[in-house]
Amino acid sequence: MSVSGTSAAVRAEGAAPERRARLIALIQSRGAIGVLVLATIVASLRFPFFPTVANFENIGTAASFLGLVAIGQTFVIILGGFDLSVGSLIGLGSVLAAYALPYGWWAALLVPALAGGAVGLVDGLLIARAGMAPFIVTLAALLGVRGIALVLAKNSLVIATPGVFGLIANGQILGIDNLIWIVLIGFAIAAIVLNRTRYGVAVFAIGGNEEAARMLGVPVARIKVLTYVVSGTLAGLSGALLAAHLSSGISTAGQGEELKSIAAAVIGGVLLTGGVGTMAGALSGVLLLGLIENVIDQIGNLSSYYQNLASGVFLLIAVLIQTVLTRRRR
Amino acid sequence: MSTGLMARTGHDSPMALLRAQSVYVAFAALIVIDLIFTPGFRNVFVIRNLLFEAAPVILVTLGQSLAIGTRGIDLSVGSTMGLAAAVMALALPGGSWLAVAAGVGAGLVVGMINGGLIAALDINPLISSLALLVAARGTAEALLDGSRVSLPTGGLFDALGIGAVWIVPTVAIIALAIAGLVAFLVRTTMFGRYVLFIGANKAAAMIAGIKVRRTLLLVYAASGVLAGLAGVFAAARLGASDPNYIGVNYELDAIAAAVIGGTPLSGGRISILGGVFGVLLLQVLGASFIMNDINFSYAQILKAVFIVGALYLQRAGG
Repeated sequence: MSVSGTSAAVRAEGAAPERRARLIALIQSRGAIGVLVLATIVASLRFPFFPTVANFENIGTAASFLGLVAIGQTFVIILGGFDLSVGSLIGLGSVLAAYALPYGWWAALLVPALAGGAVGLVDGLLIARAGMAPFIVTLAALLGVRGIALVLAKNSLVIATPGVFGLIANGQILGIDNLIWIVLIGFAIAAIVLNRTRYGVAVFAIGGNEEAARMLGVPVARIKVLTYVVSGTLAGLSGALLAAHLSSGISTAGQGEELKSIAAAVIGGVLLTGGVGTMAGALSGVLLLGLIENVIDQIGNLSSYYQNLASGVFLLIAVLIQTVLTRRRR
Repeated sequence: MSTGLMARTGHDSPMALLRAQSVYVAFAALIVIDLIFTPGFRNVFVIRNLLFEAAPVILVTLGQSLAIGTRGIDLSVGSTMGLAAAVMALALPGGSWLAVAAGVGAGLVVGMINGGLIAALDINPLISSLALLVAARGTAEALLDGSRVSLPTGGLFDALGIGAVWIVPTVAIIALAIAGLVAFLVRTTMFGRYVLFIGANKAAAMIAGIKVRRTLLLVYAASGVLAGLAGVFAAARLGASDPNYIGVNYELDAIAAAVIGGTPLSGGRISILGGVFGVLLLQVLGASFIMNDINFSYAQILKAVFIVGALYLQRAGG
């Protein structure tokens, strides 16, 4: 599925080392899934609390908010950019959901999604039309959106979530939490969009070589704007679901999620240089981070502060392996 | 006022000149507005307090400017501040001077790790410093078990935390002196040339035989040391080492200040004076809102507008 990764590697090598090159490309794109399976087995054998259905559901629901954001982030990184605004958009989304809920559960989902999309639109226009650096534009959005969320709600807004809104985030279908369904379906749709549509091809093309994509007639600016809109919309939606899950709109929610989502994508083999990545990899990255948090949380004698330490070290190891692999491919 | 590789032609239009100096114009305008409209802004305590808050931000902005000048970035500076404060608290039994040295040393270690990853292993600075942002904060919290440790009063910590010459805090004098030193390094030494050359064109710099790896290692090590010192200053001001609080989001302020001050993210150009004024601008902006009893959150929104505006002007300036 990582068309660009494999083909580039194959082209560069002769016939004999071709198999080796293909293997390296496979590790690059699918390594995270392998590590995830391995980590799950090790954790299951080592910790009796780990391999239970209830615990897996815990990991899944806890990771679903990051998962939605990581989908958008993966699109943006493959495109060759960053979206630092998503964490703040989770906060804004959750506050807006709380305000919109009296008008109906659909409003509580729609308003945050639209607000997120609007922020994404502004980001995208500044990046694609005005030619400004994605890093600084979305950094400004990180600050500004958090400011707006704090203006709207200084403290958390407690909301009652019986009815549909609460059910969306806390109910189950076929014995599996709705949040897990939502994020899995989201990743499935995203994988199809990325690999089977003209939009997906355009995203890979721009991330691989923007100038070449433009010369081939790819509407670069429009694709870029659209991608930031998608990322913003998903982040707003993630905030709305968080509000439904926690029964409150929290203006400070989602802090640091932008960095976590980038980390998840990178661990999953999405290259920061753009043009290479898979949704399955990003999902593995999200679940790996969730697994680490879950295990450290439950080991009684380790303080939760080691979560950060472990996540950081893990990210470094993942990037080190990737760097070594991509260098060897050249 | 910025130091770039290309010399300016000297035929800049008035608009281009205004653009290049936008941070100073904006700062002057803000000061005038505050003097007229903000009650109590003239109070010397206000200015002194502002400078106390600004000193650590100036230090991390200096390191950030060097990193951005090489077309890199250092996201780890805020967490490094937290780690430096935590290490300092642990080293307190050895006396205050040793504690301060340990804090700065912790910053050096983080900077060396970051620089090593970037220089020797070719890892994207954004990712290596992001990993350290997460890991250094976790280490800081783990070292102090997440709790705040009070610093002893008197002596060195008072000198750093409340010491001042009239309205200028000691820490601000130190920060500005270091800023002068860094500006001198960037402007006149080979190290400064190398930094700008790497930022303008890394491949060409390598071909030209410039010691790219050593320069990058030095840049990030310097950023780590400066962040360590900033953490010491912030803890001394607070009177305590708080691993959850010290340095949080400082990396964002530092990046914003550097960019507003005329150090573009595209590398190859550094403005130390602009960065210092960028810090002051953001600090005064925040203070203006607080002193006018306006919700501080609005200041954050305006900060965002400022960053985008400054970048837009730079873009227009080519």
